[in-house]
Amino acid sequence: MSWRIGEWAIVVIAGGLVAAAVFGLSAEPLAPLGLIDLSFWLAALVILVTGVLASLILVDLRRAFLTAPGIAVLAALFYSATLISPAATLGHYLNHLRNYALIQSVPVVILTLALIALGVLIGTVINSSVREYDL
Amino acid sequence: MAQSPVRRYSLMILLSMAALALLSLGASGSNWVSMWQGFDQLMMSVDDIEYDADEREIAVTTTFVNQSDEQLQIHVLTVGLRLSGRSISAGTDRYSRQYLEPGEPITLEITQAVPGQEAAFVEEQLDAGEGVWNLQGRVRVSVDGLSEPLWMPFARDMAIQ
Repeated sequence: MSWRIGEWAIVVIAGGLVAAAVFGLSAEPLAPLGLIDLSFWLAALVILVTGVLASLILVDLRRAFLTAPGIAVLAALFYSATLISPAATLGHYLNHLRNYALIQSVPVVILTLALIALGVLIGTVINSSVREYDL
Repeated sequence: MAQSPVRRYSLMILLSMAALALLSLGASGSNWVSMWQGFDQLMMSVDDIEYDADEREIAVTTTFVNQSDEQLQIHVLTVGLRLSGRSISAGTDRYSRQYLEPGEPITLEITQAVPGQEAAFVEEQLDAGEGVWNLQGRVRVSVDGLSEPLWMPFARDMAIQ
């Protein structure tokens, strides 16, 4: 695996973890159970900053944009895995928890996709001014 | 490797955020698991199903025992009653501050009206001394003020004595 793909994968995995954790800290039902109770706007800002960082790391706009769907899908997967985790010991709740996780995954994918894409655009503007590149 | 300082520092910030995120997800997940274990250790039994022929009402007495280490709170109890496969009645009770301390049982009674045709069937079955009550319902419960209340289903059978 070349470094370019490895770098992209690291950004996607790290971004997915951040987005999943931020949703866990701000959205029901995990919000009251987390380390801090994050307001929704602050959570949105953190995801936006993740998009900006992805753009600053990857530089290339196309590669940075491709992180948005990757991060959105991974965020939904990590968030769903956390929601389904009690079924590992309490198997009879699996259906209940799986349905719950599926419903919750929809806004996670949509919001993460939109916020990361917006963050990537902002990051590209920052990239251009920092490096004096033309847009 | 990220060569420029901007790329290097951005990668370091993102990786630090990911490490914190992992810690946060772990903490939320572990609390979430213990919350469901609390729900799972809420034991429910049917003590009595009593039919009042004059009022055409059925009183269902249930006992809940919290066998977890967490304080639970019951918000809503919904019960549907069948007798020998026939739907008889259904009812819902709401509770504002019904707490369940660990190990402490509480008894809840829910009274339901029985429509005319079903009342005749119940009386017939009770006179014959046969049939099986089937109680199905849901209890909306939360743990220690930590969680949003969640619906937990239950089903119990009880023979007519």
